Amino acid sequence: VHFQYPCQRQSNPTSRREFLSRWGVGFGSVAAAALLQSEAWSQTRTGSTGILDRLHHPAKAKNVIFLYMDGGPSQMDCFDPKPALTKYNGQPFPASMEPTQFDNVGSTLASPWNFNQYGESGLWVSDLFPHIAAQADELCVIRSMTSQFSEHTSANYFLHTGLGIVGRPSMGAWTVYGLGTEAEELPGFVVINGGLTPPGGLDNFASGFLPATYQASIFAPQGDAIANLRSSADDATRIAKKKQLLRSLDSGYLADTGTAGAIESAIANYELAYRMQQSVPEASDLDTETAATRELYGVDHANAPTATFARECLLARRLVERGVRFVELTCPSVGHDRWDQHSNLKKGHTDNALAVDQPIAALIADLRDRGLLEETLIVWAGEFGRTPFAQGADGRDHNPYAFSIWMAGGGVRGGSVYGATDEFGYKAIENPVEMYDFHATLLHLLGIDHERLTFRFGGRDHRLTDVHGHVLHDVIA
Amino acid sequence: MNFCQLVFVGLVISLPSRNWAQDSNSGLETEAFSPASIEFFEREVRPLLLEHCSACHSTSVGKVKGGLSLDSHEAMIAGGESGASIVPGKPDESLLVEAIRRESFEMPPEKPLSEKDRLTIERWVAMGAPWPKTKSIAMDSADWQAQRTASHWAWQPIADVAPPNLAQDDWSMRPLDRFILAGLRAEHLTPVAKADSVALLRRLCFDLTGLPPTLEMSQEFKDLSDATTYERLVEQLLASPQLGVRWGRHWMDLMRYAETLGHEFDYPIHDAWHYRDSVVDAFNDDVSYRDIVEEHIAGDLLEQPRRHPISGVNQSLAATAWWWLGDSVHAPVDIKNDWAVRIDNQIDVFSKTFLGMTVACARCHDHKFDAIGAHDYYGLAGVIESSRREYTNTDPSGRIEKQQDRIVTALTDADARAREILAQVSREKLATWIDNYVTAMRQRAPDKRQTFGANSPLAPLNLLAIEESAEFAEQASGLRDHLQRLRESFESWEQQSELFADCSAGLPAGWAVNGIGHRDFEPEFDWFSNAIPMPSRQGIFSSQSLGPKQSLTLTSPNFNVTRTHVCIKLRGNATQSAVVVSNYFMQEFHNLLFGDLRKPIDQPHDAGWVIHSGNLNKYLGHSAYLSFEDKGKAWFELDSVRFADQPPPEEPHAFAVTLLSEPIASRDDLYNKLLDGLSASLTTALTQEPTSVEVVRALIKAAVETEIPFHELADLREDAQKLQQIDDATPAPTILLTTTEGTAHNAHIALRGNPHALGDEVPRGCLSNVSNAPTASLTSSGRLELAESLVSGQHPLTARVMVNRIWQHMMGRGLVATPDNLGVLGGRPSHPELLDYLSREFVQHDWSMKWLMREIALSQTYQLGSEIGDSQKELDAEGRLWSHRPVRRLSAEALRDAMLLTADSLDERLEGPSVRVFLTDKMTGRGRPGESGPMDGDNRRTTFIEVRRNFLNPFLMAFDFPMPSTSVGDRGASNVPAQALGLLNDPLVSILAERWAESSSHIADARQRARLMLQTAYAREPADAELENCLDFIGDDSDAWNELAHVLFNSKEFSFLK
Repeated sequence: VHFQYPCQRQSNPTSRREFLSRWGVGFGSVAAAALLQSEAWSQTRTGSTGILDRLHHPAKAKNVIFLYMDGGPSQMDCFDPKPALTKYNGQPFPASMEPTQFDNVGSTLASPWNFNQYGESGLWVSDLFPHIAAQADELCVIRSMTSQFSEHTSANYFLHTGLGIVGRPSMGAWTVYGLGTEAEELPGFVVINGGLTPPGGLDNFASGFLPATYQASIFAPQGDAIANLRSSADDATRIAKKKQLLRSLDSGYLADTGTAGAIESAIANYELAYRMQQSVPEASDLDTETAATRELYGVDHANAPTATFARECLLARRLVERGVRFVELTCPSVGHDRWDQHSNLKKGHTDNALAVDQPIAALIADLRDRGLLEETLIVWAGEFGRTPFAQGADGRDHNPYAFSIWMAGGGVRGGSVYGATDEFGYKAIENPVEMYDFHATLLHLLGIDHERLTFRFGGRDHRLTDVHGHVLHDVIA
Repeated sequence: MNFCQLVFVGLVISLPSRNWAQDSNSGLETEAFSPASIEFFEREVRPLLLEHCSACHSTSVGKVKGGLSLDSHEAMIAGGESGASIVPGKPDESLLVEAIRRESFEMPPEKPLSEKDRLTIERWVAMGAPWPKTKSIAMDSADWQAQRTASHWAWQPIADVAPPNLAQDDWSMRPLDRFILAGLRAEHLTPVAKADSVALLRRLCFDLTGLPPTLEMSQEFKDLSDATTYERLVEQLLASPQLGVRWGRHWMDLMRYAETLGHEFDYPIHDAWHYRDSVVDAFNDDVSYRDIVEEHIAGDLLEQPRRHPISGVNQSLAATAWWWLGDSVHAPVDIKNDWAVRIDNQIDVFSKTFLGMTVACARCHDHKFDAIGAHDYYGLAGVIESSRREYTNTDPSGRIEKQQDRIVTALTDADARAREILAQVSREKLATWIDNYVTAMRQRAPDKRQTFGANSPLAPLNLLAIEESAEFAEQASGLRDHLQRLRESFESWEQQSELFADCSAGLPAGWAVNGIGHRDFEPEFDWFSNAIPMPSRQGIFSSQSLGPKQSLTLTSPNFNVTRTHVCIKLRGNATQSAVVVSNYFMQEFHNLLFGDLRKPIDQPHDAGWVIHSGNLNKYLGHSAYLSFEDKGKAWFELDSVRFADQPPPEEPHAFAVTLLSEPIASRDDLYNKLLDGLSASLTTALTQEPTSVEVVRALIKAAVETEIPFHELADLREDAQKLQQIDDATPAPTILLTTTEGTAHNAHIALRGNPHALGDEVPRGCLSNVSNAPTASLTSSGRLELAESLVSGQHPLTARVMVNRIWQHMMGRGLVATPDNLGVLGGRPSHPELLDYLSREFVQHDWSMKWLMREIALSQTYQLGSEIGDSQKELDAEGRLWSHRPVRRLSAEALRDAMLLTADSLDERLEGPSVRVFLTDKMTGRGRPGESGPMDGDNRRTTFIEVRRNFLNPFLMAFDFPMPSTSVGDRGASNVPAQALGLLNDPLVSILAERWAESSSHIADARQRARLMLQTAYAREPADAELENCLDFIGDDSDAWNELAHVLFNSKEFSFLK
């Protein structure tokens, strides 16, 4: 694997003027013409309007819920059964091996879990996921996913931004940049942080060179959903008086600047912020859900990490319902490691699976029941997979050469498998999928041609897929 | 096959070292077209084809949609699925022309060409489609670079232009105004009226210092209509030490300044703040930009570095830290690729910052648009590969040097005494000692006796304790055989190994000592590593010859790792030896995959082997060097370095081997030989013969360890104590992150950017199209030559780029709107003559940045108002022509600092270690510091708050504080609800509002108090209505003053500038 530096692509540059003029009118008093008076970038918005004035082609999905499986779940223990591993269990690995991250290679390691076929499709799922298995006919499993990096941070940046170093926009930011969001009073890109911030930090969710409006808002599944939401004063009368005074001071200044667009936009932002102070708590209030729904997700599950992830999934559904474009969930801590079992595979994967299995299955079912699944793309993915041979005695090391991800809803072919790995699950051998292909497909499902969603920065046009990427038409229903 | 791979096919044939143009089999003769027509093609047509067509119609990018390639004249005639794309000379019959007219095909599909561009292509076809004798459109002949250089404005020499003479110009005040006015007149525009005094005061204060005017200033400079007062204000601000804080931070954006390494664990970049201080001071002292460029690139090589006037810190040296302020991955599986990525970032930052060019785009292939080749990228890569990241111990105050003087004097005295005492150890005394020793041993049971190992010179001494002669004979013969066998085995290993460095008689060529802890002074005795002074080996490199507190780093030249064992013979304690592979430094933090590349040194007494093996195996074929760091409490004495396939076997000591070289006849025979040998060693040790020195050291050590007095040496303890006292008083060094010279070598082009597929070697250098330095004949890294070439005054980019940046920060936008890219895809200058005029003047004014700030500040253009009329609105709404000054939001730092100042809390101190970052509960993840910094950042200016890559301050981020990954010359100014939420609800804002209210609580009269707060916030007299509104808000609620302050912080007039 080699790092590929982003190359330029020629396309018609979109000027700021052009871009702004496409933004339409978000707030009554703010005319597009006023926006144009200033160079101020990304004038007003929560991002409710994207750069595309129309989709490149009809979309299969409107929203994305990205279930980020931090640490790298093991493909041959989840969705890619490999009987050969049982055959060679404990013996030296029978194929050649690439250098590994920890360079502590042990014997071939069989999966500690049984696999069974589920649903009408007969999709193979391991015993790690009894609840998800019941939704097998909704899953489109890609078994031939690959990455370029053996190290968490680079792989995380690659998964999220299409480049293995920090600084580029996250796929959620690209999506909202392209499509905007239908939630007027909520951010378009939300990350619900279950507790495990991925290696590489919140930079995984940044807007990079895209305007700051597209960066993720980090929600907590409990307590105040976002930072600085709670009003610093708690007396309603006083808050109203403050707003009034601020409006009067600002209107004077606005007149004084000859109704400068930047000032007008900043004033509009305050109005939006006030509304968000209402809408965000409302959206994140899970108490209004029925007991049956809460039980379905496991909101009150005895296992605390499961309960946390249940809240995340339920909150994700509520956000998508309200039109939030891209929701990403990070994992809760299960008390030891994320899906990164360098040792003690059995316990680690069991605990991580227990945390997410029931909530994810509930999310699929609940979205389906509400008629939202077909317009919501669910993606389940880590940053890489794991080795079929042991690290030490009972762990597995990082493996960028093959791993399994799955998608559901949003126009993908449920109950299907795409691509294949070798007999050990070590390397993708049939229809290998590059990260760029995944990104291209994700955008395609949303109605975006990945080659035509560009942003000029540092004098050249950038895309999520750089100069790569092929849409995986076979995974689309 | 992807895009990059295909481009690589083109790349190979376009390398300047290959003369493919000569064997071009093109049937097209250059002579067919006039030079003028070729130039027309190169300047006008080729860029259009490249920009609008080649993404889909070029084999060089792997796409020939519709089978049509527009790569060459022939390819165009050959055409695609729909036939020939051009009929030379006949535009109306050419499909290409039809397509761009959108008569049949509609090309380019996304957006039609402008009419001008379409006509250009039609004209070109009509001319017969002239095309030079080249093949590919993107990867053309060997002189493509020259052609691109000729056709782009930024490569042209800076023109010598005079300001235009304008009729009836009573507006212009400075020469630059005449360029602006001429531009406005050309568009039939007039500039708006001058801004009012309050707007000008706030504008100047924030632009120059990043702070609002104080209440006192707003009184003193209430009326700026008088030119003298205005100039006085400008001078006062230019002299303010807060200027460097503001402008230093602008510069830090370019340097992707951060104090951690990001990635998984966000490890620290220790002592990075010295770099920040060096930059802040440089702006405050108006250090010539020429010098700033030089010290950034090669500050370690300057003969007269800049020093901090008080602390004496070498700020030129500190400036070289920027090369290493990027992020870094621990435990990369592919270290060569990791190095390539690090260099990529360095080149990206270097070229954007100093050249305004995106040279990093030429890593995988020649630049797609600019006159920059892959050879330019790898010319720079060679410069970087020939340099190293090192922490350098410095002695800013000179106090360490003074201690060194003292210790040299004391050592010389003590050495003389020690020499005398050692000379008095006679043969008789030695004999007595041996007798005593043997007696003492015999009094012990055989298994309690001290025995010397086979590697000790005193190994034969073991035998003398044996009383029974038959046993003696057997043991003596056994020992003799044993030593012989060891000798042979060791010699055999030695022969199979490769001697990399023999450091026993001075450092070989290419080895370098970095830091202040060493002099050309070698004490005869080693006073510090043992309780009793011992003779020291002369010539051998010792890190503590001037005392243990001295610190330094010793590094070897680069070598290629060819054997699995690096074996280092040395003495030393409490430090490590390191094999640095591919300039990778993260093993300092994390051992994974690099464990055996750092080994502890823990053998203070006898020279022995430190062996790097194991993981070293992974790095066969990699470039590496050895590094020995003495941080001041450790020491080492380096003998030699060998590369081998096996670890060295035990080495018998030469003294013992020689002593037993002949069969031993009897105990007496051995006794006499030993006495002779030891006695001779005592004499020759004083001439520092290496073997004898070791013998005497062993003898002294034995004497001490066996508690058998060796009286003659014990008397020296007093001298040792005195030396120790001097050493104890030696101050700690100031440690700087620096760049130093490594082993000079040229890089190879990495094909497709793949560091495992190397192409041709390229000489070190940079932008061969405009720079003649450095060259292949260099014996150094070439950094100094590179720096000199940039500031020669002839370089077309250096001055333009910086002038544009200063203009941008003063005026809100650069003359070129893309300050980090003056290339083809960057913006073109709105006022090219003005840019050239100012660039020339800038150089002539000794590259003085404050000169340019002053020149701009005093201009009419700078002082324009923000309110615009209809004509400006129609023709210059964005202010590109500077008919007016658009309203701007404060930067993140200016906003925070303004709140601190307004709340009467600002601590204006400069310099020093950064204030730890405040951590909110949302700032989570690996590498989170154990402790949060103070919420108010100790009231320091934002520039002095720590920048942790994975824990950037969310409040600042909401206001466009940049992510430190590459150069950000233009932050943009977003306008998002998170800003409103932050100002409304961030606890810091509330706390500062309380403090502000508190600071005026002594004023009993509400009206007076409200007036004061409004004056402080806005630097102006409040209008009556405003005042009344505020008083209504307060009513009789004395708690409401905090809330008033909070509202004022949130008001737009506080955070925006007219």
